[in-house]
Amino acid sequence: MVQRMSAAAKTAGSVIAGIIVSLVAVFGGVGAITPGANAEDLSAKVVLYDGR
Amino acid sequence: MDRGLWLSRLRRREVLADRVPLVLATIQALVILGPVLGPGVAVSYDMAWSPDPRWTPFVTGVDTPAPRAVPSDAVAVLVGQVVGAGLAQSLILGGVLVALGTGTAALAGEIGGVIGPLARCTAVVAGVWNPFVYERLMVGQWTIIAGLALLPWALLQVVRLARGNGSARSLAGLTVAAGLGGANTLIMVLSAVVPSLIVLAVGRRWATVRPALLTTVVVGAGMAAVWALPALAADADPSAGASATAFVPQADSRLGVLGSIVSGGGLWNVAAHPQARMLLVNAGAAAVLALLGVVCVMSMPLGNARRALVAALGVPTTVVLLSITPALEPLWMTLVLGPPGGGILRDSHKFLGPWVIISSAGTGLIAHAVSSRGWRAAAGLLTPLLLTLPVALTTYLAWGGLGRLSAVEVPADYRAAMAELSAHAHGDVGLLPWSQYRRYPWNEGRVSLTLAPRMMSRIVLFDDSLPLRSGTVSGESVRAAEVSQRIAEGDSPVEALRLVGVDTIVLERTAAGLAVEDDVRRAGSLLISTENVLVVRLAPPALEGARELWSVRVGWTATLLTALVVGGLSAVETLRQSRAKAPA
Repeated sequence: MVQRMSAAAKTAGSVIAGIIVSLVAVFGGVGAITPGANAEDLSAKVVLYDGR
Repeated sequence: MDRGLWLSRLRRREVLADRVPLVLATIQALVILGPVLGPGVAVSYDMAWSPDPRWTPFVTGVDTPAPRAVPSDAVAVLVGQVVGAGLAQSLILGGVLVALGTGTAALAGEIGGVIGPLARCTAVVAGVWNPFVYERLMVGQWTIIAGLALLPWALLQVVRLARGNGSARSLAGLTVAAGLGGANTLIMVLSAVVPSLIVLAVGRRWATVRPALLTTVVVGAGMAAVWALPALAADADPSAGASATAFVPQADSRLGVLGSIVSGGGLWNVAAHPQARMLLVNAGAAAVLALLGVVCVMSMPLGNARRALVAALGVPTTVVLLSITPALEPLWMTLVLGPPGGGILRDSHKFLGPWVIISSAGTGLIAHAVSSRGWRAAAGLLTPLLLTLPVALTTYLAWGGLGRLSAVEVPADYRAAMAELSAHAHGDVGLLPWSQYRRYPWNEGRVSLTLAPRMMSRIVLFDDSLPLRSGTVSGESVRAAEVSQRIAEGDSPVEALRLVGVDTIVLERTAAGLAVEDDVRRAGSLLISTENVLVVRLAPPALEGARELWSVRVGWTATLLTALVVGGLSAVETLRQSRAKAPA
């Protein structure tokens, strides 16, 4: 019983560690985004389909 | 443990495995669409979604030589007339994303056998959180994402056929669904399915595969009739030659064009490229994950299905590679410009669909492999990482592309003007400014197609050319080209439109463009003048432009008949099966 609980605790611990690492990766990805990416150039008179 | 209890637990686990991906796919669709689901409609690039669903000549394909928005716009109008335009848009976009996620999970399950909920969820996430979905969604090409969403379901049927238990009826139904999305959706599915069925047929499975192959081709042709017949019947525009190279994939990362497409990105329109992809670690990780996913799928014990999947992946991917190889440019130009209908290949990036789907299903299978090998500690760490990595690499997709997409209210005066013009049948309408793209101030300056042709039940003559940074790509309308020519030669836009036979001018006043308001006001009697629209009736009434309608009528008839026959037969078969299963 003790051995089974110990294995379960190890698995739970590794899952929690995995989630923490994943969250760090997610928030790291968010931080890498530039808020003004692809800001539109509102002064353009002729609207270009592929204009940034 | 009691055997009954054990079976009951196993059954519950299976039900959970089936439902969890659907719940996750729904949640992530809500997270991605976010502001798009608000009041109003989202209008961005090619997604000019009318807030008032109306059967306009543009929607039915009557007003253009090569209709591109049929029958997808008709589907949007049909749903919109039942539930309202905004809800229709939310349901269609949400449905597409949910189908994409659950389909990728179902394909992973079909390939990998019994895989757990975590592995299925990983496939759900990987199928949706990728640059392909982001770049197409940002330019409003929801029918391409619909094609991507149908691909896993179609490939699933192909794998089943290879194993001797697939169904021609299911493939016919999927082909009808693809046909409802229009030319791009249909070609995305058929370009993967047909080669795989041919490979299976050649490999001594002819008797099993023949019905599916024939059915798919015939149903595909029937569903294509609505846009193919009018396009083939129209005069080809020889000046469109310059456009063949304008639509090949472009690098959206530091990995170059090849690395960009391997990692799922590389759309030709650089305005859609996410800045985060310029981080080498971002695109690099996505490329490694995609490659591992494809390798994982192809290393599974698939039997005949492997050859089918290689064909489904290989043929479309070859089209992409052909388009980006400089040495093969003459061949690419010949393919796109030579045969009738070759133009459908022009935007070759869409053929990346099978790569995205198979690599995403493979990501789920990697998660399954990690969790089922007994590496408990590693599995605990790696499977959540695999589950969240696609999200981490594509966070810019969340919440409408971090605000790039959101629903807006189209101004009431604009909608009233379009309704007024629709109610009074006259001749053709000339639309100014003479360009089809707008930055409506009420749409936060986003680039979009003009809404007018989709909102006004009149033939609308507008400039259908495509203004790009590299130059202008010609449209297909001969009348529009004549107007552009006259303007280039010095005529005013109003005079040029009058000379080709329009009797009403609509000026979208707040759209950035040529300052022609004084010309329009002087041209005839003022019908409507509001903050956003100026409408003038030209006098005397002008000539009506000649139009050929037989190809549109025949095309619609063929497509509707195909959909009705396949739908009817499917309904009858479903009814027969449910009766057979019912207890006596």
